[in-house]
Amino acid sequence: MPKDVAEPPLTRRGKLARIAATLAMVLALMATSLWGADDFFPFAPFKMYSHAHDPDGWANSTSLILTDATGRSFPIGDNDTGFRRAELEGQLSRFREDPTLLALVAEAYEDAHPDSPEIVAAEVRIVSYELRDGERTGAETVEIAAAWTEGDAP
Amino acid sequence: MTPLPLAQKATGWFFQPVALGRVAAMRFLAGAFIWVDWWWYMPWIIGHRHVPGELYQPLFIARVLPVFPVPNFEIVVGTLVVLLAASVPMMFNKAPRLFGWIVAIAYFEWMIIAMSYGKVDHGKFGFLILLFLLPTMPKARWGDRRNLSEHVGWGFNLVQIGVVCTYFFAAWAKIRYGGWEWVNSATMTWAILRRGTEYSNWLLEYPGLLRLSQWGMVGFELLSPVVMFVAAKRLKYGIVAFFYCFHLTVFLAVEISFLPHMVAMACFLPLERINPRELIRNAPRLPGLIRRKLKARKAVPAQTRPGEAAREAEPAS
Repeated sequence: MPKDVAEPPLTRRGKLARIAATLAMVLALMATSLWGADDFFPFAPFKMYSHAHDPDGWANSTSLILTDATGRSFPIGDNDTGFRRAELEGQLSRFREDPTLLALVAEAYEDAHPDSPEIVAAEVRIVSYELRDGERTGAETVEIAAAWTEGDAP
Repeated sequence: MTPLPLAQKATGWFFQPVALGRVAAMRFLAGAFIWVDWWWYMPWIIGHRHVPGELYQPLFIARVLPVFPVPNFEIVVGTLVVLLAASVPMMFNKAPRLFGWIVAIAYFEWMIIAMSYGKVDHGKFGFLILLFLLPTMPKARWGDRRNLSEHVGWGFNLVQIGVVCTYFFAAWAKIRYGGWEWVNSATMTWAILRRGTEYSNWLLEYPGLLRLSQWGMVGFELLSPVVMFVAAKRLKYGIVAFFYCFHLTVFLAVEISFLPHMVAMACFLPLERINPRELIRNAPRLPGLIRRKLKARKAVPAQTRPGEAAREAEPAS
């Protein structure tokens, strides 16, 4: 059992330093909440569910579809590659600009599934559903945001 | 210089000493969360071991401090192994300061690995502050209510401010990104459509109720700083209990639990009153103890003498 160690009370300097640290933390949170973006993690605006969703707009859903050497095409989930759907959506502009980046996702899949057939093609598909009063009307559009086939120059 | 009475009062509140027992309890909770985190709470982080480095997008902090390597298989798995290994001695109070630093740094690197691929998750700020403050606090024993520390009091205050800021600035972000109309938007409908459960799907038929819950959420988030300044302990614990109930409700509705935030929030509570050894020793007598406490509370002033009540309980073992 450890001996009780009496803690000396904080000195004036110690208190001032701690007050300064506290103010710095709150100011950093305030500044990044006002002007910052996710880039400033662990600070940054805490924007969980902060976007207003229009009940009469379009809701979209992104998926990543891989095709293997046997010709089988399948959508993949977050745990298949380690690259999550939200991350794909976050970097979507990069994929639109350079679809050959999809080769990296295929590589991640092959790394995670060493016994599965080789991946030869991949595409990012965005399905948008029309909403009215928050319910699907049945109208939808499909967009292929990026596509890659084995052999495309990386 | 003689400080003004108000300033004196403020610093008195700010450095209100806290018993060291709470430090031991928080170390245990933080370590326990880390063991739950990697396989249950955020199991996808370890999946990043497969992702090629070209998809790594360094965050601001990694660009400013070029000490964070581009994650690969060895770095992801190695960070996790170090994190888990160091959290065990921290939990059980063996060299808790040394292992606390290792845990804090390893967990920060773990977060860098998690958040640098195009998506940043929120609600971990309080927990990160907690991890970096725990190693600055002295070694402590469970149930120690005798030794007090001003530094510990300040440290837990800082964690509490971090927790409260998470709520307050979450409301701020809703207004910044969603605008004032956020409270009347279909965000909760959208959330339940995407991640609804059997407990929440029925709510889709009552959009008015969902809208009301959005008003309530922004209201409580903006008012949350009040908890820092409530002097009455019962009221304070009541507000904290409300926060926990809010998270339980959100978890049942959309399966998002903000678990690390809830761990950090535990430092609002008088955890120094918990002594596991005593609890285990008293476990067989616990129902009797509770019954007696309740009786004593109903009958004011107590009508049974402690000696009489003790006879009813079964002796331990």
